Amino acid sequence: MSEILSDLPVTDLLPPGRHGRADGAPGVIAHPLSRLAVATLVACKGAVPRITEAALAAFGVALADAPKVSFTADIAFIGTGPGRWLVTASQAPEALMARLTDAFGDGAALTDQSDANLMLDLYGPAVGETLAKLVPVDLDPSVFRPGDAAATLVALMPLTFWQLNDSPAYRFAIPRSFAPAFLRALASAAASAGLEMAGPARG
Amino acid sequence: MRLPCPYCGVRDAHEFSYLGDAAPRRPDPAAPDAADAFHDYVYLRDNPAGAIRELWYHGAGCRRWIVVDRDTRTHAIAGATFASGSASGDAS
Repeated sequence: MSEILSDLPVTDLLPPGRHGRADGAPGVIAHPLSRLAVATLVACKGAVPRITEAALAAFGVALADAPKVSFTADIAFIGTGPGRWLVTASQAPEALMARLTDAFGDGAALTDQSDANLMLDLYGPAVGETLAKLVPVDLDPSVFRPGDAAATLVALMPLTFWQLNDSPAYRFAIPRSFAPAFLRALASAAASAGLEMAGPARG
Repeated sequence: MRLPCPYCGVRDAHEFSYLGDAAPRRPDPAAPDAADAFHDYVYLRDNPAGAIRELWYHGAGCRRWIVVDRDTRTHAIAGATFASGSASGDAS
């Protein structure tokens, strides 16, 4: 397997390219997303019904107050706690904040988190066996399905992830300062299957 | 041991911080026997062999306080609810 982790400074991000098992197709593909605006939406006390109505009116989203992804084509709300969501959209952070402020006004606390996380998509034939080594949540299709989300710990690092589809693919929001350590843990967990680290990682 | 978080679902106990017995209620500091009442509130705890309701904080998940019904002899968990009583959006 690759000896990259022996030489890579612990503060550096895992470089793009193939890591771990080098022959055959990669078992896991990791794809960093660099143009995703992210914000937290926290309902004020007693304001969840008002926020839910506003989400439906402004975005056409049936907002679930649960660890689920509520989404339309251009915006997604990921439940991270009662009355709390992570919001993602493929647009400029300022534009997302303006849309959210217009929709929710003073009923919620809104914070731009676009620079706070490494957003990483994980997929590939071995993504399940790899995440079994990292995520303390049961990802069996009978329990965790597309649209399910979880805020949890990976190797003691707090993060949020959700399932995008049943191929399966998962999207991870990793606090930026933990990105180098998370990618090292991922490289180790995926070494036996081969990891393809795509694109330039921002973190 | 796994705890059934009312929001996140069943999670490993390592995601939670333990506080203890959920029964004690903060006494009225203006009451005439406040000193005695606060002594009991701060220091005295039951140590039951059997069912207990206790507070856990889900710091690695939804960041909410929950009350867990646990049997101290078997670690059997009978259920869990939000400590604040309100399910949504009310910071506590």
